[in-house]
Amino acid sequence: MIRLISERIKLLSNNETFKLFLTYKRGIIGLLLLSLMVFLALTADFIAPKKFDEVDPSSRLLPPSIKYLFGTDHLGRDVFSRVIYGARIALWVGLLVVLVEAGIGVPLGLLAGFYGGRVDKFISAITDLIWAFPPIVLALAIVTILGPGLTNVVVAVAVVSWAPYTRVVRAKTLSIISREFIIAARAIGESSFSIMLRYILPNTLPPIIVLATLTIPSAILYTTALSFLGFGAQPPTPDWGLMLSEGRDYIFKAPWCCVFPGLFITLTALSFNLLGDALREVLDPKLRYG
Amino acid sequence: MKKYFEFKKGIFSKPQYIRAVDGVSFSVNKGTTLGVVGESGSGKTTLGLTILRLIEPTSGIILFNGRDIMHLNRDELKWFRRSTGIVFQDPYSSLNPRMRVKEILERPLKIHTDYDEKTRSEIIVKTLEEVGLSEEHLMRYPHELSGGQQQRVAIARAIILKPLLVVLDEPTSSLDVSVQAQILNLLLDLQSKHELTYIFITHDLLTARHISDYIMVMYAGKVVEYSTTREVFTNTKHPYTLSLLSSIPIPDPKLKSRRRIEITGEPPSPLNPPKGCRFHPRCPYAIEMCKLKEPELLEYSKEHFVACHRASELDFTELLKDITSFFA
Repeated sequence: MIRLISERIKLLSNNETFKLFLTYKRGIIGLLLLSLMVFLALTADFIAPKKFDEVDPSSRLLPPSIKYLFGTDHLGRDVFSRVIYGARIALWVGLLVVLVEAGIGVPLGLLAGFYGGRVDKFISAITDLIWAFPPIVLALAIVTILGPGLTNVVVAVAVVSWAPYTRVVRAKTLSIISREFIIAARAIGESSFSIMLRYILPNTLPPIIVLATLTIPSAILYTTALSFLGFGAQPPTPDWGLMLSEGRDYIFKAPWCCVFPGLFITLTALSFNLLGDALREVLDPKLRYG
Repeated sequence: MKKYFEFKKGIFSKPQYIRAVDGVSFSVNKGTTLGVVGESGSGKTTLGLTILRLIEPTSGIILFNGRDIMHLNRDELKWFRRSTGIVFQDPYSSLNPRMRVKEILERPLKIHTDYDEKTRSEIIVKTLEEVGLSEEHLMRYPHELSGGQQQRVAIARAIILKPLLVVLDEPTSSLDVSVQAQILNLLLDLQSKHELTYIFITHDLLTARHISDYIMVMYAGKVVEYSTTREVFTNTKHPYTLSLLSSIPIPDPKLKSRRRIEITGEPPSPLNPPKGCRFHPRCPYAIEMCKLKEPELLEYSKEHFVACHRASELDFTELLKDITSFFA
């Protein structure tokens, strides 16, 4: 253990972030698991034995076998193929949600931290307001207004969960803004916009990356939850949440319809959490060996 | 041609009136160096930042090339930023950790000139060589450089546009002694080459002596003594300057019993400076009047300003003998 820590300190002082990351076992497990999901998502067209919407009434609710690895559902569709295609949707949605969240939250955090005063009070008030709502209820309300569909779900989930980005970026901006290189930037005549873009934003990236890996799983969970409730993807989309919802009626007769999508939701969320945990320790010096 | 800065101001910031710099007035001539000396909390850094309009003074005027820098329009402010530079104490914290040296030096050129890529990199390499670095440092990040090299990059950034005035805020204090000397000599070289005007802020009288033409000693936000470097060292008039001088170690083994003027206590809080002379609670020469009336900064002899009620009666020649003979 002591050898591991001293090894980490050495790598840290040499700024070998990647090698440092490799000393975290859970990070590697998370990365491998995530790579598997990405691989499945990318190569779904080649790996999947059947098309995700290929209905076969003669083989309904068959248990897992060599022909149907994860069994078949109530319409005789191959659960394995659907789960693989589902990885594509889940990852894409997770990524999209995080991009929209960061797109809203990061600029607001920068403005609040940089200008302070009234701007900060205003932005922080909105952030607290959003934070105070139970996210799934607010997301439901937004989807109800926008109408069902995967895109609307992405928007809804992003709109209810950008607040952590604003908080993190604001706090980081406050700590950076008093450093001398910001005064030096002013002294050479940099504009406020340029200072935010070139001097503050790059220095807030590590916590943003960590936050992104930690919010992707909740984004995936929220979108699958909304799909499960019928607001998100519509049949026959192989969305994991939708598959859970459809399999619910047959949960005692054919549990594999629910078990496998559920397992993949869990594994995907877990992979991001493990990766994010390790990244946080690698990128955030305050938590290092603390 | 003379460049003229005049300075008269007091910083009163809400809510408690922290008088960081209070009623300071001076001027610096082109191509010369003014050393600003004082202990921590004496307001010297605040002074430096205010001169460059990096913080706003509560009141007062600052003239740069005859223009009041508090009332500049957009273009004039840009010109002012181009004509001034600053170097800080901690070189690592004064460089953006996410920018390579090349980009750090390229920013001033991009903001203030419309040179093309090729001209810019020529200027960058030339400036790097001037400060004693080379092309190989171009693609490094600040953390990949030593403290001395980082400070050289910071100096290069300050002088790359050939400014008129550079504020040096303790540029050598966080460096090793051997590196300090190199950086000081580099600054002197650059000054004679480009006719730079320096305001050199330091807590170290010896460093100030090495580089400055004029020295201004500050105590608790006020100027206590201001004169040519030679006058300050040989004809000291203020007891505070005297105490600073006598704290300089003299490397002479024959000197056995040296008379030191030691002062006790802490510098006063800027929130609540003592009445009368701000130095009186620590001054061995204080008299009744010092507690009641604040001394003005008066011209004691030509180009020698002192803020002390007893300036004309006190004679420190005897006390200063060791040090003046050593530096003579």
